[in-house]
Amino acid sequence: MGTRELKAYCALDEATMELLKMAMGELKLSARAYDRILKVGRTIADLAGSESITSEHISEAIQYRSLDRQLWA
Amino acid sequence: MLAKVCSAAVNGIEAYPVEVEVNAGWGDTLVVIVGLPDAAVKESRDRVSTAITNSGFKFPMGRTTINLAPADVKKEGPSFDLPIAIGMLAASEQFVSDQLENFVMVGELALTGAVRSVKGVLPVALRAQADDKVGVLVPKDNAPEAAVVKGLQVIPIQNLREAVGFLEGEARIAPTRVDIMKLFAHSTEDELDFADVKGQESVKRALEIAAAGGHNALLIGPPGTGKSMLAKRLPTILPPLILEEALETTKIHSIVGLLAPGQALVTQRPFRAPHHTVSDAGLLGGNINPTPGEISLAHHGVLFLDELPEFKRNVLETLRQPVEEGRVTISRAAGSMTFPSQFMLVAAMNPTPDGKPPGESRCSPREIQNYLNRISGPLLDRIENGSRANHA
Repeated sequence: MGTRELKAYCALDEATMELLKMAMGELKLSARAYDRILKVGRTIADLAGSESITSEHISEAIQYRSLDRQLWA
Repeated sequence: MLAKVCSAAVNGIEAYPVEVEVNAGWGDTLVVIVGLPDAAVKESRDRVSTAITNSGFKFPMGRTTINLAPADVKKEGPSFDLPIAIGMLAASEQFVSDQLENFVMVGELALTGAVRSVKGVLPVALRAQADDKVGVLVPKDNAPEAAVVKGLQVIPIQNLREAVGFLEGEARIAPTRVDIMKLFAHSTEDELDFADVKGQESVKRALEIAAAGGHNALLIGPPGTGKSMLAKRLPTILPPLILEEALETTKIHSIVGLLAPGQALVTQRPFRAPHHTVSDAGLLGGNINPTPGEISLAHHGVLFLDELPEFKRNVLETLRQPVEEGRVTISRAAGSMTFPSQFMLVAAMNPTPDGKPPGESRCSPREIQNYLNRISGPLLDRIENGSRANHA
């Protein structure tokens, strides 16, 4: 998905966006990581049959990136 | 007399037309092949001459000049044997046909006159169809591969006599047909099943998400926690290939010669698991002429790198661009080529060099850090799903 499609299909509500921004800061994630977390969040939401991506979906997506960070840090 | 026969060759993953011109002239009996032939093509001369006489035809007297046009592109491989033989027979007027410009021919000739299978028949067939040819004459074992192309008559050829007979109109050969729907519907009984792995629910969840969205995944855990087992079973939960994807995948497998004789289409997502001693050319593609590597063979499928830190670091670094862009450009002295390489990267590794979890490991912190540093930040950045496998 390109940037335009990301904006269209992976829009987040304010609370979820805040959550993601906080995680990006804490875990020092790059812009590429941001895009990829959105895409994984979209997949998780799709698997759950949900139209929109909720903070639950985003937290799970973030979790998958942080596991290896703990190891490497 | 001058005869022209249509053939084709593969460049990258597409085929381009090659016109085989054969001129039967006067002078001492000699066969000359021009058009930048490589060693295998030069040897065609001997294979073809013997195949012609063994098929009951006369060896053309006089000077036979064979030109493989376009003349500035290097020609490789034995697949021009059949068109050269047909050209020689037509130029020496041993048979007459008005069909030569309607069919594209490829095939290797055995000394007996039998036709052997060659690589890259699917791209050749696709190009023939794009060029509005009536059909293709291909080795019998390659016929199903070409038959998936719509609107093309695929004539399976077993030997030189048959080919001549068909072109003259004396022999009728039924075109090979394949039922594509049936090929896809045929579900192979997987001996492997995702459910074989006991426990590890969180890892399975991570892999399910990866499979559903085509995301990359990294499995970290001590040995014996089922990482390799799970990765091998990942293809069983991937969505099936659609026809366009299957055609692309089949093209790449055809070029490398990975299709089984008589196989028409690759219907399962590829799963490539190169050993960690693989070189960068083996992984990305290369050799002297650009050929697809493991990542292109994994196109529309899974590339599994077990024991990720054991791979040479410079080899891993070369993965960055393909993982990001889904294609790889290989430049060699012979030319530069872009191959598709959209794959799901799945990697597995231990958390420490001795395999034990960080708390119990006997390795020093520096050793552990050196071990983990073998995998660069940018590569890790491209892997969306990191998941921990623990002892059950």
